[in-house]
Amino acid sequence: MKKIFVPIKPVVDPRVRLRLKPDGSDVDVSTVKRIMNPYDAVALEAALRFKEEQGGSYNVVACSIGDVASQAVLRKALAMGADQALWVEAATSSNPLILEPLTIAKLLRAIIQGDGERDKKEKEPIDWVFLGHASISQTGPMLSVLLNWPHVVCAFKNTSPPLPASAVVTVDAASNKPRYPSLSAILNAQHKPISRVSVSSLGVDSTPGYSLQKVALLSSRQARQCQPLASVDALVDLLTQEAGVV
Amino acid sequence: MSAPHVLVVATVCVDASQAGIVLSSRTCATLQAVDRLSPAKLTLVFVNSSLIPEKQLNKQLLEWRKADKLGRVTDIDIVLLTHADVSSPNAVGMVTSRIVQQVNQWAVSKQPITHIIASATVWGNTVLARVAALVDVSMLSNVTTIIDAHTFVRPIYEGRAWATLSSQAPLKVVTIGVRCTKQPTRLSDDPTLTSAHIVVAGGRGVQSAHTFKTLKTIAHLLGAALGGSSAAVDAGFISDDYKIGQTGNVIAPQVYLAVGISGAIQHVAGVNSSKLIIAINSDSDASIFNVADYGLIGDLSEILPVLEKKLQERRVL
Repeated sequence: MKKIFVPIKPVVDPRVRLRLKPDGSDVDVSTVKRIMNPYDAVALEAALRFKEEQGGSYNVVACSIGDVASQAVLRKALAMGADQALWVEAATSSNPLILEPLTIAKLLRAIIQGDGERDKKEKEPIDWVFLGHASISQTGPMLSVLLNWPHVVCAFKNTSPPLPASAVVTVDAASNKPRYPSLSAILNAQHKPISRVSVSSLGVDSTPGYSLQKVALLSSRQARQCQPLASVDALVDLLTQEAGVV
Repeated sequence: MSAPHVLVVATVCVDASQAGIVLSSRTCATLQAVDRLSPAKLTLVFVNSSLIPEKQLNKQLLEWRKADKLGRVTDIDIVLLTHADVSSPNAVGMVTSRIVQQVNQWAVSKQPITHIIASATVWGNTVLARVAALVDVSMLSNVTTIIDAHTFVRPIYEGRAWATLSSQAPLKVVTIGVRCTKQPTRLSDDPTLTSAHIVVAGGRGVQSAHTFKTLKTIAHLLGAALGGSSAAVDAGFISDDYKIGQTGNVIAPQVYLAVGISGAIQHVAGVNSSKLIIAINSDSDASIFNVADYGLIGDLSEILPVLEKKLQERRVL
């Protein structure tokens, strides 16, 4: 049985309006909706397709580090088709920023190496780690160094590329469109088990390297109502009249 | 604490017009930002220095200093990584270990390295993330302002907020985003991205260099600045300097015309403050339409030539 490990991060829904805490010290994330990081969803989709292509003996393990929001994204991962889910409980509910990429990479290494109090079955060796790939992501390259595994950046287009044994794979964001789970899959996922391990049992120092001094919100505007243009002529008229640029 | 010793990862390129070697525009911008730290010492690690003949190096440095490319620092060490072809997969590992080697070498001296800095390109972020893991130091990516040797500003939540972060760690690993710096050198007389009244940008949907050229003509006809999404930069249609989005230029023009751009969060973070957003895309479900005021749905290879022609006609009138 080969295992593909997919770390998934809950992120603040990009559509919600951010607010500062009353004392202005930080963004108030206590009430905002959090969703599966879209980049991680692409990595999970790539893992699921890889498994389907190769057939049979592959297991996709979704893992999320964080507070209760992690549980919700793991349910979604199970609904999409992940075989196992692991919740690494961190008491950092106030601000997800507190977990820096280096800390996350160290926690992932500990899990992949089988640390922490868990079932024996949960400690089976991992073959690949699939991660989302954004230009500023640090976790993939950091984890590859910590595990001493090769790091490959892959685009999974029509078929999956050949992968070296034991690798950290960052999946190009344009690789696929993540599937929508069916209603019955969503309902079934509610009853599937999510195993838990606490951050403290992993023996990783999670003290952040940086402390937050100040936060300022970018002035944002109301959501827009998009009006369809019927033709190129309409576009040219718009550029002429509204914009006065022609 | 003594004055900083900054290690900067630098790239050079061949300047076609002057037939010489120049620092890449991102490296120039990063060096400008580093000048804020008033470093006592600079170690420049050139990752593709096979372009520079070693004999010419001193002359070259002198020229760069004259052109005020290197900032105020006078004590400069050079490390040449002659075999590093940046595009090769082995380069990342090699550059990483050479940087760590420098850190270890200086650690026992009177001037230990205090900052490791690179431009926040995909490559720069990957290399420094590996370095950070090896030296066991947290990394700050895409810093937009250096306040002092310990304090930095970077975007958070897809660019919807700015965080000021500080650390007293003796070694810091930082990549510098475009906004930290002044605008890149202008393309002829075209307006710059961040000052233009109108900005036209292309994305993955533009699909070919030929179509991107049409877009360039359209931008010219509109008197607009031309930019691209990170997908367009990755496809090689336009250089990294003209990237629009969280990790590139953040723009706020009167009119923003997004062509073949799907509207990834990171891109939208860079255009959110535009007064009027018009999107052209073949995919009616593209999320760019969620932030656009007007949308035109259709095949770009058909729309763009027609648009170009109509704009030409208006011009004649």
